[in-house]
Amino acid sequence: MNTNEIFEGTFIAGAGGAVSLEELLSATGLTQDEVEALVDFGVFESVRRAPLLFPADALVRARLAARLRTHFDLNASGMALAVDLLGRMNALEARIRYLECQLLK
Amino acid sequence: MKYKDYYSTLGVPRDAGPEDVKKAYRKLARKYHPDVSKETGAEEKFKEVAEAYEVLKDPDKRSAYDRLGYYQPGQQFDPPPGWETQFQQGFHDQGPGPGAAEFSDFFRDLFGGRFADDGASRGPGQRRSFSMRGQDVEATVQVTLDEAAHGVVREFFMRLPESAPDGRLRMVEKSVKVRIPKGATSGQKLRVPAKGGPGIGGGESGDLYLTVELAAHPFLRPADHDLYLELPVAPWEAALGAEVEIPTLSGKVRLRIPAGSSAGAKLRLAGKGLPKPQHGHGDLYCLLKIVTPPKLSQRERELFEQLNEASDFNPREELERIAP
Repeated sequence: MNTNEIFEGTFIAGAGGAVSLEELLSATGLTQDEVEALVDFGVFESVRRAPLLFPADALVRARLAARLRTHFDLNASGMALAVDLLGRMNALEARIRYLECQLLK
Repeated sequence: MKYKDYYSTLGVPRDAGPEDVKKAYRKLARKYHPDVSKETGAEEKFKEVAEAYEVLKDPDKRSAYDRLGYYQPGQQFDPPPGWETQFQQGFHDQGPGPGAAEFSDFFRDLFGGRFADDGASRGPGQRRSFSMRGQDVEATVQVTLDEAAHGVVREFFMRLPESAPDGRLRMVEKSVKVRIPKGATSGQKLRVPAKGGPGIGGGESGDLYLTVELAAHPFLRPADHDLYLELPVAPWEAALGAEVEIPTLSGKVRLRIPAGSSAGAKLRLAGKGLPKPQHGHGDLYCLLKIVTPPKLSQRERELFEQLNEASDFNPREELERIAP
């Protein structure tokens, strides 16, 4: 299927959007119990309790958690730990890039 | 059909036990998983490893695979008579398994199964109808700083599984044009809903996820929405102050360098960085780099010698005070 129509890409983080629980489950393949456990572990938070609504960037973390679960047989606590540590690693790498920008060659 | 040697992909002998297969997979998954690996080509390597494990961890799939015989990887071979019936009957009810859409043609030919309901040809209880959400597609999109500043349209070409009228899974070429809005920075993720793989058996379409990567720029370094420019200045420009012309993403601007500037000083031009997605811009920072002429003319040398004699400035005063 090829088309000349142009589709809009939407930034997931920082755009202020939100995703419903159904959308999060459908896009990640996680179960509701797993999503609730990830919320309990603080991997992401809901922005509304009833009905559940999540910030759009929860999608990125939840998809990462789902990939790690599938490929490494992780349970919820393992997913939470891995997502948290990978997030910290990415933040440190971003910090290194930021500091490198300020170095004279 | 081209043969794939799943045993050599996992690095295990053909008589390896399930525990050895699992261990080999875990080791390779840790090494090549694209979310944790920094190795080049990790994603492709991981797909091969995941496909091999998908087959070798499942006793039925492994046994069917073993019945094909042994060939060199990539070697053309003719499967044994009746293989199609054995394979398809054995595996089509399961669907191909999670992630199978990213597996090779070899895997799909063997284990791909059928997705559509055969309707009249199917007796009661023989097979359930199967529906599956389409595959999410992940891609990296490299954009220049100018494209990030203004937005750009990119076309993505994908090869995706689709259920054919006969119910078999087949690969189709598909292209999608996507507008990357202004304000992208490195590592940012975009989502294009329902533009991934088509749903199977009435399932909804998958999404297209894009990760932005900023291409290297000859003189601007991005840090989030701020930009950094290393600005070379002559020693006398740093000492006396100067007004210089500098390039920005929106054209050249004049920048005043204050008198008495030192190397590494950071001068900020507000709003001359990358635009942010919602509103506003990052800033442009100029880092002063003091550059002396690589070869002094006679006159320059005389003037520097005069300065050396006339000046009582001691740049190491602080160092001498704390480390006498």
